[in-house]
Amino acid sequence: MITFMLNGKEIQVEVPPHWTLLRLLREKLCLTGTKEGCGIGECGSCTVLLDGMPVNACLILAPKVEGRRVETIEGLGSRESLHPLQKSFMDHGAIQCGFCTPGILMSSKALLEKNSQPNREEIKEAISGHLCRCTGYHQIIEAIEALKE
Amino acid sequence: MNMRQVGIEIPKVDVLEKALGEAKYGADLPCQEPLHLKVLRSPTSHAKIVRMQMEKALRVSGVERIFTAKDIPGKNLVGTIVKDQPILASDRVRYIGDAVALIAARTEEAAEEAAQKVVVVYEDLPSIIHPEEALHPHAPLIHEKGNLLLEFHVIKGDVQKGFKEAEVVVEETYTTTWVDHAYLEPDAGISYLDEKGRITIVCPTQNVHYDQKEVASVLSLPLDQVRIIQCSTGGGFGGRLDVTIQCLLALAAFHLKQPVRIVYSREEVFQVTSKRHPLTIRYKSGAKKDGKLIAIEVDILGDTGAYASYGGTVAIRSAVHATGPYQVPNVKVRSRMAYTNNSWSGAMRGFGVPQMAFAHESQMDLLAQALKMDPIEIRLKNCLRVGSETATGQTLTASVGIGETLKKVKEWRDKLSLLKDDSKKPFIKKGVGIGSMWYGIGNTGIANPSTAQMEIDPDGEIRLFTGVADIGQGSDTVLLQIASEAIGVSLDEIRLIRADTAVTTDAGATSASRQTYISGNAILDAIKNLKHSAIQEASQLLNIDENDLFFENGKVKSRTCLTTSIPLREIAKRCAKILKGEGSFDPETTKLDPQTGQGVPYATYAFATHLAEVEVDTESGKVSVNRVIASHDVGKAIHPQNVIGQIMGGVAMGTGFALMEEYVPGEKTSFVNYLIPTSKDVPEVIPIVVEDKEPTGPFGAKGVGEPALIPSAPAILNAIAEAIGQRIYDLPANLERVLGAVQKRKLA
Amino acid sequence: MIPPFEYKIPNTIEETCDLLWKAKGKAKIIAGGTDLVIGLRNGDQAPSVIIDITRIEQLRKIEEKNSTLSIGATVTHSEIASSPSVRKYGKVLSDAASEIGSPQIRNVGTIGGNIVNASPAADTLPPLMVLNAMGRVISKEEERQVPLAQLFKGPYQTQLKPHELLVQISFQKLHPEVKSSFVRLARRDAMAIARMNVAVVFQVEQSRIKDIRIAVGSVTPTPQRMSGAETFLEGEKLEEKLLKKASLKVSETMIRQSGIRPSTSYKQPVVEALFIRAMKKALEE
Repeated sequence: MITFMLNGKEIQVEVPPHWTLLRLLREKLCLTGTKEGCGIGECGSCTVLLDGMPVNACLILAPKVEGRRVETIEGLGSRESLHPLQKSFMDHGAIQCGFCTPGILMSSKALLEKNSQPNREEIKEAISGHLCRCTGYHQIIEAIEALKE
Repeated sequence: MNMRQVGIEIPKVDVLEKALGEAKYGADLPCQEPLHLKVLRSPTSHAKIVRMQMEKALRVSGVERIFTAKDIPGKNLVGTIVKDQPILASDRVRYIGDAVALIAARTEEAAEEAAQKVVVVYEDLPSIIHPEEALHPHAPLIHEKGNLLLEFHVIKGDVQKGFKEAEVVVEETYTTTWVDHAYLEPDAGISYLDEKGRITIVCPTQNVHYDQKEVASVLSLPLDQVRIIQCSTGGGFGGRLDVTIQCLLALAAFHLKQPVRIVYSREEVFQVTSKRHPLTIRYKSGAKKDGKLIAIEVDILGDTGAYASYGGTVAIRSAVHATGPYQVPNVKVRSRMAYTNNSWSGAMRGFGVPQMAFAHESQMDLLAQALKMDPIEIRLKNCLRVGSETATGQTLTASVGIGETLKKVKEWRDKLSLLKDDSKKPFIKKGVGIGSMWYGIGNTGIANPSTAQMEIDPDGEIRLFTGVADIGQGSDTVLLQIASEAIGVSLDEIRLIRADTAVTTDAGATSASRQTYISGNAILDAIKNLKHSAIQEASQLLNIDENDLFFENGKVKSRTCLTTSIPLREIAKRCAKILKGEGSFDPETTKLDPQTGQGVPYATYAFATHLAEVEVDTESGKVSVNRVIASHDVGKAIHPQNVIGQIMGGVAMGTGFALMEEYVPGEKTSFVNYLIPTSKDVPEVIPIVVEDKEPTGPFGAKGVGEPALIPSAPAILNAIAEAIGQRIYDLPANLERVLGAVQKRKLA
Repeated sequence: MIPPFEYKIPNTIEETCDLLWKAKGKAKIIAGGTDLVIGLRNGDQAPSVIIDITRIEQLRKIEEKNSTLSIGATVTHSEIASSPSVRKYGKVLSDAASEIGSPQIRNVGTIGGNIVNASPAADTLPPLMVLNAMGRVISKEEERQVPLAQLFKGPYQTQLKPHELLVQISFQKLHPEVKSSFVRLARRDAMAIARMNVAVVFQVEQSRIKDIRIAVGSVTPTPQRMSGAETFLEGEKLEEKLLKKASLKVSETMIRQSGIRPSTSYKQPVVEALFIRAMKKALEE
């Protein structure tokens, strides 16, 4: 049994230790917004925030989140109240196939929380752990840049 | 015409659910207690299957059933054109990864364990690795009909005479290698029997109606007993034009009569899905002193790997596009595609044209160099224009924007302060290169129709039915824009019903950059017919002669009585029935002559020119692409932001093709060793959209999906050549090749 | 799919040593897990027990003691890259840490993990070698200090016994006047294994080179100090021609260690160039 904060709510869940956080989220908690693109930390599609830091959920064994704070795309915003990043991604054409989108949104959130005025290089660095095959990253970078305060 | 829905900036219709993480891709689909499927695959590239032993595997707790070729009730061969690929190999495997058995188990773990316990005894057969080897008269046969899949020629004028008249001739050989689509979503899906007992498959795909035909054939079922529904699809780029998981899912659901689920790992996707065809291109070009091309002779040999897939298509399309976007009076092209025991090649963004563009654009620069001409000038001198005749004898009558894309790039080049080498870093050399391309929209010289329906019901709901699969490029939005513009209602007033074989009709594949042009036109045709029936109904309702009525902005109006008008919804309501318009479109093409390749392969072409600025580290061979100016003639940008998105993504993929992407069967296994560009590897891109309207296109549109990628690699390779003074003839221009070229230059 | 195992989360080093001792070689330590979880997934690793050491506070600290800087084994690459004291006293290491993998990997991957995984291409190893770093290794039997250079046996192999735990890395703080740099080459600009990585540390006194240390990664089975080049340069006057000659010593060592391979024709000139580049970069900084 592990206990952790998931998208702002404390949850308790029974999970075997050989499950990754990704498997726990997708298969047990039915949070399929976090995607598996490679399973080995090379594509960033499964990125969630662990204590506010972007991590690859496919490389985190479930017991590691005990007592910690996990944020996924499902906690970012809702239909009624979109996170500004979600709105900006939609407006800037930053979403094509959308498979990399949840992960990149989470890394972008972590970036803006740490640095509200990122320059282009800092944005590129912040999303450099994500592969996107559709967009060439430009409209994603623009969407993040548009939120500079 | 003042347009309200076309050419505007609106978010795509599918982005809200994607931004929220709610969109369901293959592995996200809800499914009631499915059985999990796992495929057992060949570890060897060519072998006879001597025997298979299942006993141990079947004893693994949780295993329900193991399927082999014997369980396939119908035809155990699939393929888009030539059907030669088994769903499960029966007696022989032809590449590392060929499927031999399919395990269904209650958990993924059990399925995996069982896969390890199936014993397959193979007897190795000689493997063919090189296509030249495959075509040797005594080569072992990979398929009974022989190792040559297809040979195709394009012959025009008199090449011998042409080369005699030529004042400069350059001849080189170019090679390209396998490229993986690297769509981010690994193939995954579910299958179940729907409420009508149909075998239903929900999965990512580029063509639901093709999938339906293959599944029906494999299961020996009538078409209407198979239903394919496209789920959110995480990219395609041609890789999901062939069936991937569809028949496997269907086979299991058919026998087990309960829901099944399959999820490929990334490693499996790399191993078993199609790749871009490696081509070897021997290219000879002749020109007059003024730079005018007079003759080309090209020999193309491709590696289709173990199966045909789109090999024939690529052989033909690369031959047809061999000249590049230039007028050449004398042309001789031979294009052959051979089977080998390598990974099978298939459709990938451009169908051979990206490889050809690398060759013809290198040749153009070599000619320019020999003639001391500016690379843009020589291209402008030769480029196609209205009235030009192509290598297949087609006279272009409209929308030939290549010259304009070149001029736009030239304007940029002339105003750029071109980067000078930095004296502080003498090992960094900078260069600028140009790449141009043309690309025929739709299939080559064969019918490729699309159909669509538009209807309005008495409750006022307006519905658009299309079989088109949106794979992220935005066709759902673009087709809705076309429909709403044509019918005169806003976008959100139309409900889109899409890519489900049970409720939509065949729109053909999301490939060959064809959906905006072809399915867009099919929708316009449906609307024309819907308007016609609306006018007929209105005529009765209003008691006005049909000829006095016309359709405008969602209403039927009278020509004579200016105050008489009746909205579409009102007509449907008052006549209490569904008003429907059926539409179809098939571009006007002709079959190409089997000996000479002459004919009209496409109704329209897209054109583009890229300029790339690169920096080459001459001590390590590392190339950075700093900037790409990307100028595209798309006819008309229905959704400008989407067009730019395609261009940006195309440049990134082209950068990977140019510099780092190199699949090697059996060696490259995952994203650890198969590298695609990250946010730090892509250049700054300045997109330029040229709109030379295509009269037969919906609102003038053509296509951009593949054109976006094609000119980047040629431009980058030409820029590297300029930077280091030595050309690279083999893709990708990886660290070793670039350093090798630098060293060669030093020796020379 | 990852097969099952037992998962232990000790709170102290002693507890960990006990667990390791009892497991009789069947346990694996997990810190960040960025290498181990991949090994579990692809079947290269199949331990029956996994011991998570990230809750041991002692291992998560960066400490300055007199002239020594110590880094706990579970300090992450991100923490090293942003640590003011590492940046001040061992910039060659913080620079390397900032270029590893991706932000997500750096947020969980640890220095201890990078060391014991012993990849020939590991980015922290050449810097640690030129810092003359020592590893503190503890087991139920003994506690020892090992020069990092002696820790590696071969690719992905260390001298550590199965029941030993690497707890800390320490090195002498570099004085401000010491020159150092890290240079890395990869096939792409993020998330790529190094094709080559070079670290140098040296001083210049009256334009002569002093205390020079050079280490190169990814070109030999284990990261190597380039002692031939070091001896050659020690006490010499720093000039372009000399660096060129020294670079040949570097490539000679590489070839001696790895033999001539198909990749040698590429690696030889490049390792020479990158070495010179690292020297120049150190002088500029």
